Amino acid sequence: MHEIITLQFGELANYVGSHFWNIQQAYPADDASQIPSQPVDHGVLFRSNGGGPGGQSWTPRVLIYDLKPNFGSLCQYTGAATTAAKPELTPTGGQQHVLQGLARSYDAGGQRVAVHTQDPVTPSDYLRTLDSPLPAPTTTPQPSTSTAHGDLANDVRYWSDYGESYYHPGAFYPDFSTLSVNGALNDFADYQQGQELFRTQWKQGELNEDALRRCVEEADTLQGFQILANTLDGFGGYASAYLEYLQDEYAKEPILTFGIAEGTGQSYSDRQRLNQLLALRGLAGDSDHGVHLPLQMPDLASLRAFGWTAEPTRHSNFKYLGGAVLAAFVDTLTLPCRTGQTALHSLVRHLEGSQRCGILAGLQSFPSPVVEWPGADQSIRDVVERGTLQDVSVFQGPLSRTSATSQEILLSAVQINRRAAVHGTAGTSDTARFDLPVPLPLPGSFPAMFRAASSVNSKATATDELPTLDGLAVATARTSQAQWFGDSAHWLRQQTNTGATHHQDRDELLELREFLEDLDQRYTVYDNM
Amino acid sequence: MIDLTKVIKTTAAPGSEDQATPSRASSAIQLINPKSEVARRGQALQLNYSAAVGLQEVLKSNLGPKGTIKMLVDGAGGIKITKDGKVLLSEMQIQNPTAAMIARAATAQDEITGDGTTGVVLLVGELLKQAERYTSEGLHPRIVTEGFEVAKQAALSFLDSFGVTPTRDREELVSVARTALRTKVSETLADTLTEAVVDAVRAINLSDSPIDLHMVEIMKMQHRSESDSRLVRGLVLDHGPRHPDMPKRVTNAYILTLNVSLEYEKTEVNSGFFYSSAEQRDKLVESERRFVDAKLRKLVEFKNEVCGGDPTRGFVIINQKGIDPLSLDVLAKHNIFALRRAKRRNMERLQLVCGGIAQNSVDDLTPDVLGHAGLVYEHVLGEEKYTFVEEVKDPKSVTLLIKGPNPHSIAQINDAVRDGLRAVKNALEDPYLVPGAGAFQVACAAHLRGEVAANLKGRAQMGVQAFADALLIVPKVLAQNAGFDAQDTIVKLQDEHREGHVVGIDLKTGDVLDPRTEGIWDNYRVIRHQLHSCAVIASNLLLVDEMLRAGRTSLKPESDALMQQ
Repeated sequence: MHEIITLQFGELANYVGSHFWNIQQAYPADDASQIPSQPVDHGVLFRSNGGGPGGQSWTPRVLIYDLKPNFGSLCQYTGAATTAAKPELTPTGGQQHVLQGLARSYDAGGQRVAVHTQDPVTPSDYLRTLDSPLPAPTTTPQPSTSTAHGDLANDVRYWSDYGESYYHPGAFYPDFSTLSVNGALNDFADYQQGQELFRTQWKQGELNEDALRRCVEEADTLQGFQILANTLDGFGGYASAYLEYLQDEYAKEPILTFGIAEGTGQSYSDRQRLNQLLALRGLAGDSDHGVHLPLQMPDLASLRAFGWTAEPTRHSNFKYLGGAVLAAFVDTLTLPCRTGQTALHSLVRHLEGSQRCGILAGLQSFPSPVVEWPGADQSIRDVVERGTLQDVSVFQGPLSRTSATSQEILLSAVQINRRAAVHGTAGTSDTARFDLPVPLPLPGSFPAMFRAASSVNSKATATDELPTLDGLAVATARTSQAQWFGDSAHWLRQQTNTGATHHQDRDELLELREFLEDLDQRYTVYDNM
Repeated sequence: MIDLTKVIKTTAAPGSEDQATPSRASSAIQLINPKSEVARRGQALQLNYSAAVGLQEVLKSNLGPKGTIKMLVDGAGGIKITKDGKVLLSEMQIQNPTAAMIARAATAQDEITGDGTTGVVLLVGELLKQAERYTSEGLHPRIVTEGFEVAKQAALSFLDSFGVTPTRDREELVSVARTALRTKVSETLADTLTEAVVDAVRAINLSDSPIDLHMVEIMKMQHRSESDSRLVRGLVLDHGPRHPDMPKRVTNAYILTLNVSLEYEKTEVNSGFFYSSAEQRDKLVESERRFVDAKLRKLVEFKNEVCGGDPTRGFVIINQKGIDPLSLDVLAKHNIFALRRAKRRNMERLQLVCGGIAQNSVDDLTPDVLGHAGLVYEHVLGEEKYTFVEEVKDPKSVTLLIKGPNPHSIAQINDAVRDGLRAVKNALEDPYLVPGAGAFQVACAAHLRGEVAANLKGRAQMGVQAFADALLIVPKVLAQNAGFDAQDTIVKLQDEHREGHVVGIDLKTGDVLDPRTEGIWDNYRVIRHQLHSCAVIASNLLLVDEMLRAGRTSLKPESDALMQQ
């Protein structure tokens, strides 16, 4: 059991993905480091070109789906971000058409060519520093780098702006900006649109099946798939349809799905809320070999709750900050599959638990600048109960010490701890626990605030009380989640009763309602167990 | 870019004739949704009109073999070169709702017929332009659309009489393919592709069943130059054997098409957690392994049975499921060329290419399930590996191998080839072929103006007139793109037509020619669908008298708006 293939659908998913690949690159390359056991096997997530004339290079086993404008300066033909500015084709004025940019005609070998150029996206400063021949990170004094990275949270415009990976050109689907996406004029905001787009592509033979098959064919012994998907927009629908296809085509491979949403439940429009629910059902799938874990990006309010008041400002890019937290989560959860401790199908089996539950909830430890924070647990519980941190609820401190969390968990399934020594047992007999003393490597692109927190930690390694991004628990069910299903079912009942269908098929909504009510009931049973 | 919001604001300037009414009417809507924006009557029509004409302007220069090529450079410097209306429309970030609607109708045209996208956009724009001449003089749009409807019906029945019953021989199909391809890629390239495309469709055309273009595999290779693209009578797969000791070249080969996993299966129980010691785990793995080994043994026995001791006989396994390294090792030892994870569709194609029957199990293998190919070899290009299955007898499925030095030229050929295949398929299926080079449009316009208008009473005549004028946009733009004067050419064409000839434009000289003798043929269904869809969409757009846009709050979260600054 070896290779894992990653699929990323949508902007948020790619923000998380970008961080995730940076973390992967930050793991020590060889066993040569002082890590005592369980080296991370890079072959799981990366493919090697086998060493050609240009030397060996590694590219992630990933397929990336996003709207064209979100790619930023990443060139989809080469898989690398373009760092050279392109002054030759800068618009010089003229009539603007429906077609963005500017047309110039000239004669090239008897064939007239009109050039239409979009305004070039300038690569971010961070990428330019990476690309500059000077060995910037090692020789520059510490203060200057930290300021550079401090800016990153405010500078990042696209998820490609801080990506350090080179991708295989086959990782992209360059024709994604079809009319069915842009022509709908709503930025691909409907679940249904995603489903339809997938169906059209499937019918027209435009689905990039070949790229997926290439990844699978390369794999000697495939472990399975992991999927990161937006849940608030059309990508949720696209990913759900894709998942169905995947389960059909590779029926025996385990699939771990992460649904990613941002912001808080309260700020959602009805449409987004509905998208989220539809995606919840779609991504949960029907397979025996898949589990779905909805995740929520931490927002400003939750960062404040953890004492981060100074650094993130209103102008910070929360997708960038929150993406880092979720990337650490995804990395930690699949770490045992990469160290050879377990295989993805066993992990998925365990996450399902004996109750065979397809939808999970996650808990993650979270760094805080406040070392001793009186009443921290209480305020976190407040955060959780208010519903601001719906699905990734974060907790402070090492797993074993957090009383709040163990009460929260109804059916705990997997706990992963990456700090050196944790005493005491947590959870029930149904819990699998992995102690992996592989700390989370923090790449240079990581938000400065977390880097700072971890450097505090490293000074005080003796006390493992200090919270980091290093621990997590994934539970089959949680109290707050059960409640959320109930609330959602109730909300949907109201919507369908008043006849508000939000452009959805009414039968579909009723089906969704049943699904949620069923979940609600099941979870209430767990609660009373 | 035409932005609806801006246009609304400018056209609703004080002094416009509707000034009193919209404030009352829109206030009713604004009562319901204070953030909504409304454009009414003349304004709404004006918006539709300018969007349609705007889109027309963009695509105009692409029409015909002399049209320009568009090179699109995106924000990251990615390049796309195309002449294909559908590709262009997909690449444009269209934000105007009317333009998007037209673009959708045009791409639907492509999905259904494979060609004529640019024509639809041109015709819709021109229909609105012509209609505007009448509506601006106070004619109600409804009257115009009634005329459109009459004209459309008349044009469709005229098309049936104008079309020529095809012979469907190779020469004629080559003409059709050439006509289609030359509008997509340069002339020399089009000519190299033409015959390949025709032969591909002819190979898969079985008299008793409909043509399935999926049975033509299109394989792209970034290698050499465009003109090396060719038809392979056989199958090309985009992967090679994954074992260094496997033969790279097999002649006189039996082909076994398989859908059997030769991988160590994941156990259904939570194996990872149920064994307590290393020995126990090994035992479990071993028992798992035994299943796979049994399958392999059967395959090897089968190979020895059919090949006997003949060393010139090759044996190839093409498997849809995986083959793990240990299994590959066993197969390599027995000199078997094995491919894993083949495309689902290739399993179907393989049976058509080299015969044989795909197997879902390794039990009861008999020699008659095997296919046969004279030559199977691996071709390595850097990291990419390809497998060619060639020298087969009378293949019912073939491969078009597209080569090009860079991704954008490959993409361009790919789009062209797809359209070419569709054109040939259409020609084989349609009841008629239509003389091209603008001949149909000229004749149809004359027919509408003459007989049809004469037999029609009342104001609907004006709609017919507008429709007839609009049709002439096609020959006009063809002439313009070739560098000739549009009016001169049209007059020349009309004169010749009046004398009873079927005439189109000669784009080399600017004179007239007979498309039937020159071999310029359009697909019947392309023209038919074009006439139909452009009339429908133009009528719909004309009848719009109010355009509403609800508040934008739900469209984008605040954070996104912040981000974009």
